[in-house]
Amino acid sequence: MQAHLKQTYNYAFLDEGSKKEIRRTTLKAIAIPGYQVPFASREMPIGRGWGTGGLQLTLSLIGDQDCLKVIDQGNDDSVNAVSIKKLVQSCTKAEVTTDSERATIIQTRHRIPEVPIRSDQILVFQVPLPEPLRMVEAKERKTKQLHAEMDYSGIWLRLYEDIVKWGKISIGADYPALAHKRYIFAPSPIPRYDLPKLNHADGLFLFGAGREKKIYAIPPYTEIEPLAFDDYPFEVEHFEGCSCRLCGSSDTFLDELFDEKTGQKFYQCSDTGNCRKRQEKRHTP
Amino acid sequence: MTNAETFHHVHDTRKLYRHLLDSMARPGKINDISVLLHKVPETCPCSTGTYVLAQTLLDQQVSFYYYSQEINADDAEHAIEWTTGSRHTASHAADYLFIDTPPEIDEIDSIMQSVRIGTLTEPEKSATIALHVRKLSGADDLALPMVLRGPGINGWHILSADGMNSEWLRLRSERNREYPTGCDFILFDDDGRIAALPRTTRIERRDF
Ligand SMILES: [Zn+2]
Repeated sequence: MQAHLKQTYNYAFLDEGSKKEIRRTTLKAIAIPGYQVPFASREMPIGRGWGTGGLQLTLSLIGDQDCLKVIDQGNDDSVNAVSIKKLVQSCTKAEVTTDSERATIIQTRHRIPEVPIRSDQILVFQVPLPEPLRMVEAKERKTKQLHAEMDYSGIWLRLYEDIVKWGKISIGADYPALAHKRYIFAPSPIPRYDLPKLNHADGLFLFGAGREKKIYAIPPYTEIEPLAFDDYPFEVEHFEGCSCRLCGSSDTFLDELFDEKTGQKFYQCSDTGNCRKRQEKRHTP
Repeated sequence: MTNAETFHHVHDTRKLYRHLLDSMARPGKINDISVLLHKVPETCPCSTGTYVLAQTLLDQQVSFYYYSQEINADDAEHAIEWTTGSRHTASHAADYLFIDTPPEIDEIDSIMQSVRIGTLTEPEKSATIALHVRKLSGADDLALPMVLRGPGINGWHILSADGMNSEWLRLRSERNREYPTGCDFILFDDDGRIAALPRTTRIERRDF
């Protein structure tokens, strides 16, 4: 007999009860943009803190017709991304790809692909810390109450203190934003550069936090406002005068790297799939 | 009927979910689930739309309320309980409400006045109402035309329905007044059209 599917696994790993619960939770999350809906997160066969929340969302969605891309800080080939793809392929017949434009589902850690997510694609985020108010309030019961009352004075004060102390807001990645003029949410540790991509987008964004047992969502065409002050507006990272060593791009998010031998600084696209495509384009006249 | 043609509890629930997800993320967008409805057993005592939605959303962790004026309404209720493991309960306590035939205005009022809308702390503890209508259209050509605005909609979107009392919309906007509390709607017809109206959708009735 051909072992095309390992019989020890359910289809898409999770049992149907778990999928149903994740699906019900996701539908609720879409109806309340940016609100963290609790769910009964399952133990997964990958290490904790390696994206079990995102993985559970992906498994609740995926079918044999899907094409999956998994990236870790923009990179398709990281150990984490590869092991997630292997797990999905062991329990479905879904295709995998590094081309974000071919994918129907993209699971990501810490980046949004350079090419905008289309209306027929879903971007799934792995979220380590879903609670944006945790930096000002340690207790879950209290942060829930603050969200309920839309009492966001604590986090605003924290941002104001930042400006007094540093002359700017010091938060880099995971910059808090307001969804649909109601909930402050954590976009996961994406760079500020990626945050505007969530505003009024064509695609659907789902966020899964496994350890904290929360699912939240940003539907398409939803207003996403990064927290900022009139005189200290939100700013994204800039790479003026820099370009990718591999594809020459100067309009993508670049990683700063150092040559081990010479100690020289250079730049490279963080989105490796997109970089590869740009290199190919450059070489075909 | 062969196995391949009957509604599959793994693959077809997932397919339905993906359509439902798309409709919920893009309020008013009609998804076509007719292929899935054709797989529902002919002996099913409820509508095919209610059947596939119940199979996809319900299990022993949640409760449902079923409304129908058909004489076999009790059979439908029991069939849903038996096939999903979910338990039937009163409309004011249910997580999911399936309204399979159009109720009288009094009945709509009593359902909508008591339906769960969650709390400010836990807005997710609210009900979802699956409403069986005669027909849905993405144009304004049916008896109840609606102009939709809000998250998931690029500007505005038109949806119209036959066999949907406007009282649903009036009471929906009353119960959904204090966002984030509110209830979410799923609309479906017998031809396999499905659409959703999450609580964030602002609906303007359009009369011609
Ligand atoms: Zn590059």
